[in-house]
Amino acid sequence: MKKIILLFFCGLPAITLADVSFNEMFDLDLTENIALADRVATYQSSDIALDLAAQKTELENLQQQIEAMIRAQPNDPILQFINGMNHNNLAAVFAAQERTEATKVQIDERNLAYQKAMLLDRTPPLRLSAAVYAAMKYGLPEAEKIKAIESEIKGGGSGDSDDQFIQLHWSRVNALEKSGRHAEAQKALTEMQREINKRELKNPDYQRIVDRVQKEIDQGRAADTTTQASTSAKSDNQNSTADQPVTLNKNTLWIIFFGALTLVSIWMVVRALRSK
Amino acid sequence: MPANPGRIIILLCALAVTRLSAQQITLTTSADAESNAAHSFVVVPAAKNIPHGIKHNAPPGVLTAQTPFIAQLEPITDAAAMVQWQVTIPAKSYGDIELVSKFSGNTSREQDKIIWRSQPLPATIADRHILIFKPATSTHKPVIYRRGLGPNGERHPQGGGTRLMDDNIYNPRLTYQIHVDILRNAIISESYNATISMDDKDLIRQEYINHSGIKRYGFGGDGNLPVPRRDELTSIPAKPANVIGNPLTESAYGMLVNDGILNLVQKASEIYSEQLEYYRSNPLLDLNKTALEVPQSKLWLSGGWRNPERNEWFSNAANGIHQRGGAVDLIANEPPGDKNNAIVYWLMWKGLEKHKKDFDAYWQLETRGRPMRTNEFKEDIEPVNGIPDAFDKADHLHINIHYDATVEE
Repeated sequence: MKKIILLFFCGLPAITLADVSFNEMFDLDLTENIALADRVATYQSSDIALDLAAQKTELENLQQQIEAMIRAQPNDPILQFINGMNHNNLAAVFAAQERTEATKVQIDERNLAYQKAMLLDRTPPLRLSAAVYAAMKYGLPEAEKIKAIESEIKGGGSGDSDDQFIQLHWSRVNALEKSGRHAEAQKALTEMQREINKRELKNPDYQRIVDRVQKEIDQGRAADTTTQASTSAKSDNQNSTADQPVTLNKNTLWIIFFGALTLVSIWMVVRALRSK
Repeated sequence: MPANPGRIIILLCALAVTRLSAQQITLTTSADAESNAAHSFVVVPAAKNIPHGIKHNAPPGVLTAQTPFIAQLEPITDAAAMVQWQVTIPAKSYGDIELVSKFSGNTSREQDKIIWRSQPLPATIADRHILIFKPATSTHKPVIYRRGLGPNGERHPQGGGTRLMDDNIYNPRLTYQIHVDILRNAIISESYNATISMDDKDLIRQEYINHSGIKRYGFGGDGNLPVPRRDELTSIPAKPANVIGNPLTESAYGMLVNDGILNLVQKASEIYSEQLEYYRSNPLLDLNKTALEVPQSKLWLSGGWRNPERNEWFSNAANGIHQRGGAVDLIANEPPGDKNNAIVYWLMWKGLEKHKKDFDAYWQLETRGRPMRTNEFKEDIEPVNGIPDAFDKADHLHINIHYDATVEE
């Protein structure tokens, strides 16, 4: 496996994106704290000429600055997003140091920050852009991830072509369906179809995706119905089995009752005979 | 057939039309023979050396300076006749014409057009049968290159670009309607019309010209792409049968610059098919050495050549390489965020690595327009599923031919 990983390093091509800023990456117009945001957004551990210990020190300093800003502006979703990104950068450094537990802590902190950012951005118009939601969705718990995808769609998507926007819709339908939320998946598929029509994407390959997803939803529903029926039947059997001990207990009580009655009767008969 | 006044009038009208079409305006619009034959043109800004020839192996060249438009009648021999020229510009945004002819005229601005009219020209004016003028320099709108697709899918307030062609603001098909009257005793005795208008090839070329030197929003170089030659714009070839999705361009023009994109797609799809075949009988193992089930879906061609205005609608990369016709984006035909999606990119990546020596191209995995970081190819920290994060996060695979200079995606 290590050989395969080494191959990945060798395969990195000699092409670069132009330097980009935080605002450009995330389609925002941040003016305050922009230097810090730029540093956090473009922090690529593998490309920075600092050893891992020095990177950790720098990122922890950045973290302190971010936390101070959050204390001053606790309801700013953009700050929470930057906070999450910095935890992500720390996670990457810890992962490079093979510190599994510390990595996990930072990932949890990151997810918490992203969830806070989403909570603070519930009221339209959304302050966070589609590109921000696209960055936040990976690694979030499934229900939160679906919310992030929905906000990304509301924000117009962040891809650089029409089909990437349709793919974004598809990812939402798929995530809902995989979570067993068939009715919501069906509704999301209808929206996806509407978007294909609106953009006049006449290529039949788009319709084939819709048909495939519809089939998956139908299969998911059918499987759920079967599971429910089987669970219900199983449950009935379990109930009848569970009733048996109760029935036995009742019978036992009657046996004990009649047994005791018989014994009392016998004792009374014996006593009557003796008294004679 | 009995003659009647109606028939006589029709006959006279027909004769009049025959007389009017006896001569016509001869046009010269461009130094390029093909462009000239189509009465088409591009507007080249003065004092600017714009590279001409966009393909990676194009011979070095510079776009020639603006050729003046020449509208010409046969010499008017009737000394009593007057000649009056008129040029109508159907959109104010084009700007005024620059007159080269020696006679003068007046410009009037109406609600949505500009009209230039010469004085009635007597026989004393030399070359009154020839109108020579230059179009105003075409400019990029907006002033700064910035992605048009903004929040909520609506246009970004300062953003540019369009997915369309012949958009009034972003890539208008510049047109000049020329009209000339021959007057005798202050009455129009003959009239002629001609139209100079950009054809699709020159419309595309003008987009490149307008983006030359454009200031880029954010970091990165200003616009510096060469302009395609007319023969570099060709019809759209069919994509390979084992690839689904879009054609080699999503642009609204029915043509493209193909600087090797068809070969890139062909080779990539062959490699992918080979990989699918291989993993039918060999397990694909994740980082935990657990076998992964390989989906059998085809690759989806997402993007190839983009005209500059379309590129600007979707991207801040003023010099984005897709505009050169030497780059393609391929995506997995699986739902993003799903494990199958990651598997497709992983096995495709492995295939490209296998063919590194016989596939002369660059490639990179991208998410939201950024390449994956080195660490992401070995980490599995989100979501922990045995697949390196790079493949979980990837939203497309970008492949391009070699260019001498470092280029933007």
